[in-house]
Amino acid sequence: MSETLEDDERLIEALRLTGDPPQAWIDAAALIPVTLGDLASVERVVASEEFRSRFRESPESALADAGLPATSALVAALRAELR
Amino acid sequence: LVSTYRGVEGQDLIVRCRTGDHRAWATVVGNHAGLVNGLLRGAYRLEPHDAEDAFQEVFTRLYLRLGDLREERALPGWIAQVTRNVALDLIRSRKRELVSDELDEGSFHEPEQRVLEAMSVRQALARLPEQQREMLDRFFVQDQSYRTIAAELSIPAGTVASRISRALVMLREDLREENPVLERHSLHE
Repeated sequence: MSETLEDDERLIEALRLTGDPPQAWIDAAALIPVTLGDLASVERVVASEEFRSRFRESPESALADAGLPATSALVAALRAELR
Repeated sequence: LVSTYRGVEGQDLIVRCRTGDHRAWATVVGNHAGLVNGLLRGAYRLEPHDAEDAFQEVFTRLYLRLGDLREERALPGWIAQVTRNVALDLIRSRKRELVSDELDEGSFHEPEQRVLEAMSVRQALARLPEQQREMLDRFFVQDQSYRTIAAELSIPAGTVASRISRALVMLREDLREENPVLERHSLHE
């Protein structure tokens, strides 16, 4: 195999390996600030010991009471944060 | 983990995200979507539905941690690390469901490196002129045929082939100029 052909095959593999995911995933992630609201408010909620305690007992209702959406991504992310 | 991949440069993107600039946030997501997807699918071999959940979790965690990040430069390393944590948690939970063996985290090192090195090629693609970039993206990333590309761009199939060939040459040249060390290691080992 020529060096150029081998190089091209590696380039092509690299391009395929790092292709973007479906546009819907990107669009959903781009909407996270809209879904969760402004960062300072979210940070205030998460910093509250009362919220943390309630979240450990019942993530969905704690989020709902705090006015945050109980998306699976947010529940998983907060579980990791509070671990 | 990210010794060979540096993120796409951007002016004060983190600061702009923190102040509620949704376009800046969309740029951050767009700049790193290929990295996260490449790691989730290419390195950790997650199924599409798991990869989609993990993708959203990575960016949700990033949003929650924007206050801790100081520089755009630190983003790719941070995102790669979080992607790793999210993916391994998911794999562990799946393994528990299957009552399987302990997770061998070391087995992911080589595929992780391959994805991170591949991101340099991806960045080089982004630097190509629009026409060449589009050709390579359509043919190699989106898997479109010569015929489809030719029909959509209203050009002969032979022109598609020659443009792809020329674009690959330009991509190789760009990599040699931008990062001769990386190019030598990743393309000539």
